[in-house]
Amino acid sequence: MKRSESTRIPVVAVAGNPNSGKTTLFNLLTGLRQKVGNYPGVTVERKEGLFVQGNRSTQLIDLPGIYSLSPQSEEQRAACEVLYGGAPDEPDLDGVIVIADSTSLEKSLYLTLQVLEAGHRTVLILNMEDELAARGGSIDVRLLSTLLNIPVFSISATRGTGLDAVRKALIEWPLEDHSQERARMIPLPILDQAITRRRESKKIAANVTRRAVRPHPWTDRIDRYVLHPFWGAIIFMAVVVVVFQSIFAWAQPLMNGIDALISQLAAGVRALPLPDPLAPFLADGVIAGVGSVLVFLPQILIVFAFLSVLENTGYLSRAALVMDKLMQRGGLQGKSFLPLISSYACAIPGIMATRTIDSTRDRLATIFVAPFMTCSARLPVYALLISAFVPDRAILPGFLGWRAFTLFGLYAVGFVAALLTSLVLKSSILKSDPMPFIIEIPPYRLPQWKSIGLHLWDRARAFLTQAGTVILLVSVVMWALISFPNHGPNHNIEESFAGRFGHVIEPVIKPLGFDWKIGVGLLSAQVAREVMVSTLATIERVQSKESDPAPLRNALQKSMTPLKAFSLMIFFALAMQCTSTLAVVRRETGSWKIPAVMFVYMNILAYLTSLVIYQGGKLLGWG
Amino acid sequence: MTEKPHFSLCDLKPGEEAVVTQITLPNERQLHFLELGLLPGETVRMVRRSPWGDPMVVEVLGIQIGLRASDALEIQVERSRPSS
Repeated sequence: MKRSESTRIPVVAVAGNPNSGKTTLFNLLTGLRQKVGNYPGVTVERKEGLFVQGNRSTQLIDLPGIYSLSPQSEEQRAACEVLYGGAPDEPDLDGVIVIADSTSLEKSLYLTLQVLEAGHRTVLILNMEDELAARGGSIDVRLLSTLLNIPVFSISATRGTGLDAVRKALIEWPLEDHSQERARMIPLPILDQAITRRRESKKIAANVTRRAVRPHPWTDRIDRYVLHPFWGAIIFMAVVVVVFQSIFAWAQPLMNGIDALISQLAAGVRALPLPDPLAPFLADGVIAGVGSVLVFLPQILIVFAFLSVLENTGYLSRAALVMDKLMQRGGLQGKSFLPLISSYACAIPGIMATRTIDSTRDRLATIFVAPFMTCSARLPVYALLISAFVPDRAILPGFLGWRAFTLFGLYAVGFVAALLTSLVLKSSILKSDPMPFIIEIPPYRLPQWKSIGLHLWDRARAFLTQAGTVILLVSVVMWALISFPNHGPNHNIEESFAGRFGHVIEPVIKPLGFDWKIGVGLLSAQVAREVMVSTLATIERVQSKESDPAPLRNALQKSMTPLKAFSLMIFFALAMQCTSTLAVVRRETGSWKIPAVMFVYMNILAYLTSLVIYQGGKLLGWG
Repeated sequence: MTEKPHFSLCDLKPGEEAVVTQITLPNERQLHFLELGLLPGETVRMVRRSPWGDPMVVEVLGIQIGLRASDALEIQVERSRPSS
């Protein structure tokens, strides 16, 4: 039975090659009315938005940027599911718009022809008409429309030209009758058919091209340096240093600002005349929990701001190409580099950045080893233990001291663990990738700031809604474990659930050189690694301040030995403690399976390594 | 009549053009190359490559793509004109 037309709005999929300006156009049309999630069970992001004009609207589903519909990568399969109606949760499509780069029409026509084969009402949009004209090219749009037998519009998403026709077409998009629909089989890719399709797109492109484009003027000149084996690597390292510096220079003050705001808010709530334990629950549980989520935002936003600009301008492809050979040594590929480097600041934006890796196995391997990169949250713990137990003496006077050497050694431990894990994974479970490494090197283009802004908003919202809820929950639970059972104003943490937990696991962690206090600290580190420091301070009943760490240091020196401290640092280097990371991995991979495996693997690795270090050290008489 | 010699993409020097004659890979992998324009009959131009030949950038279908030498080795070509 036909549904009344007034009860539903048209659903239109948006398809296109990577680098075709699809994202810019999608953002322009939907603005803030976007919803981001994952296709069930896979690492592919699903984005949909609402195009609104007056009192009418059309739902747009942004398909992943793909070159063809052959279901080989996860992205392509997800797109096929939407176009062929295979997925049960996907709405029925009323049509598809394909976005093509006018300056490389022949390339884009391949996907266009495949989309036409899917049988929906289709519209082709030739984007970047400004660049086409600037490079001397010209396309007979009307002839193309006749040959393909569909409407074709020429636009420039960045300049805003030609968009009225697109908006009109979207708002007036007719609804299809879905009552007779059966799910269609996604066609298997057959090489001969593909070759025919390729030749046909070539023929059509040749027919409609009035004037061919000239090469992009600046691209070659810049690439002579950027893709130069020596200069290219230097330029890339310079870019990485800038990104890093910015993260530490800008994120830190912002994070401090958020911390200060949260403290103020918590103090305000604590002062309210509320019944116990409501006030501490709100102040130290909920508000502090929200704070522990928000504090990640500066790092995420900065990393993604840089990544967006690099991707928008076209530099990211070049960086991936330059770093590919080096990454292959570790069993990965060029596109893994930036996510892993970002993980040195914080694994969360690093893992979120792995979506640029189109090979599923490489993406999973990268996600798996990202937490081994020594993140900034480990530093407070390292700093505390190193300053307490490593003498401030020089190895090479004026150049290198024992303390710096130890820190470097810890970074190295993480790096080696990542390297070995990656090699093992890629030679076994995640092996034999059917996809060759081919990466399109687009012409250099100016970054689209509005689109980047929307992209950041996108990322932030995705993080807050999906990982944020888990982190908040864990924080509140941790607060409860530390605060209850409550024995009054002189609440001894040893008597709380957390304290009892510390005692319960003490026999298990004693062989590593840890006592119940460390046990409680490790539990709190599950929320965020740096919380270990404040928890230890609370347990040792000292005030720990960044400006005066001496009291905590002294307390630790009395209750630990250098070997125990070393064992603890190694544990921190290798263990999976950050629940926030697990929450993000779950979001990116679509299930709890991978985070669970990571949790088990890393913690067992950390346990065994610390065990060997501590027991071995005792045997050698360093205990 | 002399047979035109067959090389792989790896043998091209920057600036040289060639026509793809065959791709010695299973169909599944060939589809990946085909998506970006590398298939028998297409003209390819070597744009730049690192001194040790890996990776490289070639131009086909009016766009530039980056490739590893290990994959480029499987793309057999025939020189269409001498290096410029």
